[in-house]
Amino acid sequence: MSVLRAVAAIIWKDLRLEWRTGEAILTPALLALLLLLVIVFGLPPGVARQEGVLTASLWTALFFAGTVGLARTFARERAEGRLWGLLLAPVDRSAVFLAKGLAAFLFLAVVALVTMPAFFGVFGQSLGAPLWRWGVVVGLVLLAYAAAGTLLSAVAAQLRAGEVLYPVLLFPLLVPVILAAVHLTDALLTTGGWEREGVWMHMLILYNILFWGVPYLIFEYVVEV
Amino acid sequence: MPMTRPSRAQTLLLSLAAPAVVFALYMALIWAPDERTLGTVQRIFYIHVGSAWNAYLSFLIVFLASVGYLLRRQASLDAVAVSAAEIGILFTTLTLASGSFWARAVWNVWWTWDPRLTTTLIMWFMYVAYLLVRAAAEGEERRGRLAGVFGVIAFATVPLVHFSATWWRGMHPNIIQTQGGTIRMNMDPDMIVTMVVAVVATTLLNAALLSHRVSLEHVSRRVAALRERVRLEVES
Repeated sequence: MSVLRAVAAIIWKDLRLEWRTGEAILTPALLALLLLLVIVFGLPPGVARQEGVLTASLWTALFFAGTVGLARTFARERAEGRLWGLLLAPVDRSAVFLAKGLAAFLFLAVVALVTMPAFFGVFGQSLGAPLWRWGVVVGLVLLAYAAAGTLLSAVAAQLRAGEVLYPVLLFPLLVPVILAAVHLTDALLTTGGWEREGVWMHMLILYNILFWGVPYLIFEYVVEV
Repeated sequence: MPMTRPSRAQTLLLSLAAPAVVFALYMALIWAPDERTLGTVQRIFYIHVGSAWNAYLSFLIVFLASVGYLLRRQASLDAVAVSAAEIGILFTTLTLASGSFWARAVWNVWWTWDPRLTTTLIMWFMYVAYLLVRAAAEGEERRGRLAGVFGVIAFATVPLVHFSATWWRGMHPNIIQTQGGTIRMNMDPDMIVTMVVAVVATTLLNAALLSHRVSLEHVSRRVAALRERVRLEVES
C-alpha cells in the first residue's frame, strides 16, 4: 500500500466518522460562536469597532474552540483498539501522523469558514484584503495549529485525563503561531496585505516546516505500543 | 544496586558548591562596586544572570537526556531528564522573580513584555507542562517515552518563541554587545568578575542539586519496584 493511498484512506475514514458524529466540526464551531458571545458580553459598549478587537476575539475563540476537536484526534482512536488497527497498517507511522494532521486541518478550516463571517458581522468590519490573501493567512495558521495539535493529541491520548491536560501542553508551544496570526490578521485588516508583517509570514512557514517535519523523526516514539 | 548514600563525588561537589555560593553572595552583595545610576539594586543582576544561565543549561540537559532516552531506553537517562527539569523550573522561577524585583526598581513595573522575559515565562509554562506529562503518564516506560517526546518538542520550540517575542516587543538591557566583530561588555571589571563568580557558583550548585536529585530518583524507583514486588507476593 503506497503512503499516499494510506493517507487518503485514513482521511476518508476520519471524514466519514465526522459526518456521523460531528464532534470535530460541529462542537468546536458552536463553542467558537459561544466564545464570541462571551467576549462581546465582556467588552464595554462602543469598543467593538475599535482596531484590534476583532483580531483578538477571533483568534482567542478559534484557538480555544479548536482544542476541543483537536484533543480528540487521537483520543477517539483509543476506543475498540482502533489505534492498534492504524498502527498495524503496513505503512510508515509518519503516514498516520500526516493523515490525522491533514484531517484535523480540514476540520479546523471548516470551523473557521463557518464562524468567521459571524465575527466580521458582530464587529462590523469588512475583509479589507482580497479573499485569497485571507485564505493564505488563515490556511497557514490553521496548518501550523493542526500539526502541533495533532502531535500533542497523540501524546495526550496516552495520559490519564489527557484531554484536560491537552490545552496546557499545547498553548505554550503555540505562542509563535498565535503572535503570527494576530499580526498578519491586523495587517490584512489595515493595509490589505501582509508585506508590512513579512517576518511573521516567515515565522509561520518556518513553524509549519518544523511541526510537519519533526514528527517524521519523532512520531515513531509517540505511538509505540 | 542504586546508591542510597551520597557518593564521594557528590560529597565533594556539595562541599565545593556550598562555600562557592556563600563566596559569590559576599562578592555580589558586599564586594562589588555600586552601580552609578541604579545603585544597590543592580546587585540583583548577579543572582539573576546565574539563575538564567542555569535555567537554560538545565533545559539543555533535559533535551539531551530525552533524546538519549528515546534512542537508548536507559532508565538512568530518564532520571537525569526529570531531575534537570525540576531544577530548571526552580532556576527559571528565580530568574523571573529576581528580574521582576529589578524591573520594579528600575523600570517601575513588575513585568514588561520584553522578548527575554516573555521567552522565559513561556519556557516556565513548557517545563511545568513537561512535569504534568510525567505525572499523568502511567508506567515507567510510557512516562519516559512521552516525557522524552515532549522534552524534545519543547526545546525545539524555544528558539521560535524567542524570535517571535523579539519581533513582538523589546526592551531588555543588553549588557553584552558585539562591535565590529569583538565582544564588548558594558560593565566595570569588578562587576564582570563578580558575575563570573556568581555564574560558576550557581552552576556548581546546579550540579550538586542535579546529582542528588538523580540519586533520589533512583531510590524512589527502587522503592516503587520493591512495593510492587510485595504487592505481587501478597496477592499470590
